Amino acid sequence: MSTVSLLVRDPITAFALVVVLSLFFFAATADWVAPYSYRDADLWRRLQPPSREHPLGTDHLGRDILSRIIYGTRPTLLVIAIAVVVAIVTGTLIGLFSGYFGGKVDLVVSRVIDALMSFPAILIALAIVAVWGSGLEKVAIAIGIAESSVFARLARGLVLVEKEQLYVLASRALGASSSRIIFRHILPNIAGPLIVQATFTAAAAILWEAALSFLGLGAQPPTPSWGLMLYEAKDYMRTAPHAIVFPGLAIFITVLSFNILGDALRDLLDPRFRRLMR
Amino acid sequence: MAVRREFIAAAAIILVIILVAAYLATRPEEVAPAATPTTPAQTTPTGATATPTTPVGTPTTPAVKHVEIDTLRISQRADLSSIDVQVATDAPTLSVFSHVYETLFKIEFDEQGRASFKPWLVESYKQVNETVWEFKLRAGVKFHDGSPLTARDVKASFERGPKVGGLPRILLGPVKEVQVVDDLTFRLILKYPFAPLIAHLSHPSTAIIPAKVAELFPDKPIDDIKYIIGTGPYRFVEFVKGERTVLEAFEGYWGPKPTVKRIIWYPVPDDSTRVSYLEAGRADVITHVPPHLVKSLKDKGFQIVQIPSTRVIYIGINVERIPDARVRQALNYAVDKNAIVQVVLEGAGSVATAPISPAVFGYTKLDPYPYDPERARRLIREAGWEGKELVFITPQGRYLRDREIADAIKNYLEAIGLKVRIEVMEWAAYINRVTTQKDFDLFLLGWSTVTLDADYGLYSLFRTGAPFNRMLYSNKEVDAYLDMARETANPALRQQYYALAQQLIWKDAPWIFLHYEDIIVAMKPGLVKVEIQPIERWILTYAMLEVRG
Amino acid sequence: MLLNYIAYRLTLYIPTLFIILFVVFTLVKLLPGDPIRVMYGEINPPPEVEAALREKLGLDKPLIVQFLLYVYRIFTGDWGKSIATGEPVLELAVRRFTATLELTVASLAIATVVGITLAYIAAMKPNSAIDRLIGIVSMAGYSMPVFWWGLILILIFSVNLKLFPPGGREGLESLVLPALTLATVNFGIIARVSRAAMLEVSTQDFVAAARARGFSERRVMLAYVMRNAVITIVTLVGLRFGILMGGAVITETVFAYPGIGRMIVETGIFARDYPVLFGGVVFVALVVMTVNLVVDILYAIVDPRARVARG
Repeated sequence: MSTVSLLVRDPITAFALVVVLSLFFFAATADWVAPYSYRDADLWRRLQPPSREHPLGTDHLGRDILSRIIYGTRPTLLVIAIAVVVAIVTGTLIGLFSGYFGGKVDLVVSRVIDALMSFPAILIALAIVAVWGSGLEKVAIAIGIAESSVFARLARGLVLVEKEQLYVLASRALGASSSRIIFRHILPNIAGPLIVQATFTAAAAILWEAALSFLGLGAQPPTPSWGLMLYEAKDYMRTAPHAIVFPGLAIFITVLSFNILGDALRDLLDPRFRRLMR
Repeated sequence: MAVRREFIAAAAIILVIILVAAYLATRPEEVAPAATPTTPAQTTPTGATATPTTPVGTPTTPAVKHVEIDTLRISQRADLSSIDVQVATDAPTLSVFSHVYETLFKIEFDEQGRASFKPWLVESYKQVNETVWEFKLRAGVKFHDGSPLTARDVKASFERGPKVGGLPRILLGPVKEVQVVDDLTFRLILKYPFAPLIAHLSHPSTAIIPAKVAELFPDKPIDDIKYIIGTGPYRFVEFVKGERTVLEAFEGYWGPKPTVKRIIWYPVPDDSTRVSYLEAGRADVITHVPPHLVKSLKDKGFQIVQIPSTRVIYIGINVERIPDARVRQALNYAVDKNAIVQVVLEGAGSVATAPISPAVFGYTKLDPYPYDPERARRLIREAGWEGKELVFITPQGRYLRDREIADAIKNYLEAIGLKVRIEVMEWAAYINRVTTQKDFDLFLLGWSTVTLDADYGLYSLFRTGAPFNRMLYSNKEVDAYLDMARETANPALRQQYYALAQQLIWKDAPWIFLHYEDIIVAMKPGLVKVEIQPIERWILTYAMLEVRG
Repeated sequence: MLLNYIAYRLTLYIPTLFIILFVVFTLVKLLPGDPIRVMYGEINPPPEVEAALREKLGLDKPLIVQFLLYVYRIFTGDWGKSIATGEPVLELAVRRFTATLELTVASLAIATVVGITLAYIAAMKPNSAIDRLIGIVSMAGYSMPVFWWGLILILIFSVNLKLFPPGGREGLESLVLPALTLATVNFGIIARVSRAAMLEVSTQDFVAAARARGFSERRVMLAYVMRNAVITIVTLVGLRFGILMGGAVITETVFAYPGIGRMIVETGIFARDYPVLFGGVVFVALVVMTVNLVVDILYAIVDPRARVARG
């Protein structure tokens, strides 16, 4: 049974899949689909409530909120892409090597990862952004670094199990080099859980970006990042709540969808579950 | 089936909750019309005291009494930045210290908002010659610990100040030496003739601290609140960082007795929360009211005082990177300053008519650059700057709508054919960059002429090599006028020099001259005699509650 | 051996703390700007004043010396004083942390009650529609931006209904909205893990035995399943403590709540008040590590299998 058909069976998961796919869709077609440009400012039209011309209202600079949310799928995807790639690559590499080779290296690395994980990660991300300067790409990398420890731990745990497996022992006996074993044999086998975690990390990355933007350290104007829209709208919360409710909803629905997807993928990976589905 | 019923019930409940929440969340704050007309909100000219005036022709109202206040609570947007009055530079901290410490002279404002400097701790003074001034202190003034104020304390304060704080160093820069003549008499020997001296001696950074505190901490800030000892009407009682500062009336105060027994200051950085404090009765006075909430507060019966401050907001232009004056003028023509004030600031400001605010001595009214994008485009083309990219750095959350102003200006500049890249930075990093680096073209900043004398506003910013001349602007003629205005004692002559200097500066356009920020303070109804000064200082010492008999 | 395990965990404590201190120190030192400049605002501090203050703060010494000095001082109890206000950092940290603790405990209480209740309902009818609905609601909880949700709560309950104050810390009512905000993010995870724990435990032998003895399904659940599930939850809470603290940072900012998270961010990072920053960070790290340690030891006491020193 193909993964996709299993996913689509359940209406809720199907919905989540649609949301995630539409992220890509809107990001690609924004120029045609969005009714206005995301940077058309008209100060005299600011903070208008939802109306015919502006279904979701206008923001503090008179820009159409619906259009900005549509264009906002681009920075969202950018953040997800960079953060997840950074987190997976650094985390998995560290976890793989640490777990496979064991010994003193593993001891030290585990300690370091434990130390960093037992600490409110937001402070680390904050410090990185404050040092480096704000900007969407930098923020995404900082998020990736902050989330990499999750992958490190995951990869390490998986490797610890895998390296006792028969096929690994056999490869070693045949004289295969360590890196060959790690990359050609172990990695494909643990890819599943990693991908599941990637979905969750994508969700987390969006929330991170919003949080950092809220502290003023996120994307730069006029980027229509949803987190930045929240930050810019929060001062007017009382008189123009629509400006903060809608971007927040966009984030909420997107993050929820990623989480639902991640859950569904995890269930699919679990052989017991697949058996149940037959 | 039972399962399905439960499911539907649960889903329905959740749906209802979400709908109600959505309705409540997206409903903009509604304002009930005021039931009874209370004291009318004032938009008084500079430096006015907020006192309600009974309109002529009202039917006889019951007798109005003013009673003293036991505890007055005020919420500002920042906490004390330092417990040392000679180190602190920001308005919220200095407002607090203005109740605890006193200066030799005191600023007073008349109805037109013009400032004058009255002798305060000083009883009389005279200028002996060009560079020597003699002062006689008032007798009988006591510090909070009971010790008397003497000339020795003045000498110690003025010697310590420049060593520990930037502001005292600037303000007392011209002072070469303090000579104690006797217990109550002292002389200031200046390095050069300096006309604005009296103005400088009215700034809280030149407040008098006890000599023994100065001796305990000769070159570093004090480290415990027990050393906060002044001569002011209030004693410093408690300080819980992030929560509150408490002042209590000083029994042995030499001046008119305060009418408020206790003042509690609450730092609440979030604008919305601060407004809620007032509405909920947690604070009696709040400062820095966001302009878009003014109307709703007025409708709820609160008093609003809105006056122009001495702070001017400008976009500094790096003159070395943009040496062509035509380009700088084009930048001024390109921006619709009126739109920014009306729309971005929602009226909480006024377009600048000079590099300094009208309340400052030496101000000259000039014509703001009109909004003329055509002319701007022409100038850019003539200068060959079409399509060039400018780097524009701005802080956020430091000035009213600073980031938004930068956004708006970027749009205006791009409309005349330039490319603009904005870099938003948090304050600490921003001020560091603006001070130490010059790798940008435009920067947003504010400047408040807290001495109310043009020297502080013009000399420090526009003279070649001046410490805050971040534009790297240099005009020898302007330098000459500023130097002469500083040394002449004749006010009329000074006024002329400043007029000439400002005209030149206006034409050279080292700034995009934007606007003066308004101060907006809100108070509970019935509160009177709260003094709001355009230098962002609020004096609560003589506040009273109006009670209808 | 239990004692061996405890000793082992304790010895790892110190290096871990060291690592945290080092990372924070490096990051902070890379931050442009310094507390002196921040205090002065638009006015440049005069060079002599700046130099004198730097010397006093030890900012002119080589970095490695500064770091070692900080570590030494922290271990000997001298946590320094705030640059801006002179207040001793340790006192400040303790006071602010107490506030955060109140908030965290309140929100955990709410989250646990709600979470376990939901988990119970869900576990009673596994894979039913109700179960799925609860699953979605739980996920919704941690899919929302914390501060957005906090602002919405303020809009609904503070601005429109005027029930609760939107911030500060004065009495129990100012705790309600921030605690609710934090709880929303956490109840979901508690619900999901509890549900899994309950389901897993309910398939085990002793539960089957209880069922065989004729106890009703409900009774079985409550008595046996819950008790064992609680252990799992305690562990979960303990392990998530660090994340809880992180969530508190944002919530405190939204509600102007004087907790330690806000202190670290606003005073420590934005105002570059280094002693406060380090003191705050160390304090939080110590607390989090202690909580982890206690949880680990408790686990080891309860379950002998866990007493193995990890390799």
